[in-house]
Amino acid sequence: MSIAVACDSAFSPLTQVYDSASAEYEPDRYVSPTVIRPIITANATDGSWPDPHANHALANMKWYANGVDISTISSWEGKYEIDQVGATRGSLIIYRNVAPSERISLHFEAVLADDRLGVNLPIVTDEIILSTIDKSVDSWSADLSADKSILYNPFLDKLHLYDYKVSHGLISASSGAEAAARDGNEYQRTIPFQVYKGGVRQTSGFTVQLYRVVSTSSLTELTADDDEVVSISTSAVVLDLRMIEKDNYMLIFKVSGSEIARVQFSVSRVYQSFTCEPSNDAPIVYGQTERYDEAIVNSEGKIVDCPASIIEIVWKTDSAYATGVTHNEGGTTEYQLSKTGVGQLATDDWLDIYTTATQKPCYSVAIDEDANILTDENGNDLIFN
Amino acid sequence: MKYVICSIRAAEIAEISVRNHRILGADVVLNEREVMAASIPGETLAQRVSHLGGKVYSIAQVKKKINTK
Repeated sequence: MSIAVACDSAFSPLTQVYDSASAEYEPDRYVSPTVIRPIITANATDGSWPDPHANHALANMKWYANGVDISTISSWEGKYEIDQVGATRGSLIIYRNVAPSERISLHFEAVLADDRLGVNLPIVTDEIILSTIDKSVDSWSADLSADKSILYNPFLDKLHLYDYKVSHGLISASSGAEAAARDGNEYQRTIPFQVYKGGVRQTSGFTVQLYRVVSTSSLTELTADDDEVVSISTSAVVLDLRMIEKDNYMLIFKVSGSEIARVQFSVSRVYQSFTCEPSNDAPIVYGQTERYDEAIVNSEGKIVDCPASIIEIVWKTDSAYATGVTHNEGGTTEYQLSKTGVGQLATDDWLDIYTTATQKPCYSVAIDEDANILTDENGNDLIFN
Repeated sequence: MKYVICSIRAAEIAEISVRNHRILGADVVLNEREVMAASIPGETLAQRVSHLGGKVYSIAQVKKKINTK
């Protein structure tokens, strides 16, 4: 007599895969049951046992899980059947999923009635193991909490405006005002990310490296010493978006020096449409030698506060005797009328005042002719645009 | 993993044994792997299921069908 045991369901094998991200078993035995068949073959040298396939003659059939009759185990109740028919009699049809933490050893016991001799032959199969692989256990993943396409619009940046006003003496520094200026549009942008292992968020046990994507095959690593990087931690990178025109970045996560995940994102500076007009409509009066003007910049239906902080405004005049005279750059202008070429007669005393205005590009770090970085008295890099 | 419900007849024509499968009336529940391994034309699951005259379901949808049969 030969006793064997085998899985009889090729597409629902003994080992399941569990996806903790979706909380699904692959396959789910409730739908695709696993079938384990005891294979009992018997022969008699004298030919008195007519059919070698002996499953049909099994009796007192019991399956055991870790040595316990499964008919007595509550976790198996309603989750299995024992085939009672023909050549597959004794097969265990399993509708029960096995948790990744479980390992179930199954074996089959029965008796085979030998009518020739009037005895019951004991049948005990080898053990066969049910287990589950958690496919997420060793799989790491990472993603940004924020949009992967990050836009920086200087027109919306209240922190940049706050800095400008403080540095120009228009307001006093205030931690409250600075905090209020951080409304999500500020240049100092926190880009949070999450790292998962097996579907569980990790806050340590990995390192993060930030790269600028130079080309599809070339990355340049950045650190907090680089102009656009404020900080890199295991929960977020903070970038200074003022320093970025348009770039792609890659976050590479590593464990023990080996890469386990990467996330790419882009940063782009927004160029918003606007109008810029001189505001001084007052006529030039006799004896006047100087003229003052202030630019009014309108964008998206709003007057832009301190427009010179984000727009390069160049003041110009045309007159009867000089056209395209450039005066200064800034939100305001004050110039000598004598410089404009304006006449003194009714036919030549006209003066057109206008501006050429373009949004400033990203900032650059100021350097001297020897490429040394210029700093303030506290050692902070000076930037300009 | 996706699951496929098709007629028992269609599965048998495709030489898929329906023994020990979940049976829903005249239909049988197959899992994605056995459909992809069967001798059915088509590169994708959708193409193969189209040949079987069946339909693709999620695990939740199949469980609902089994529990309400």
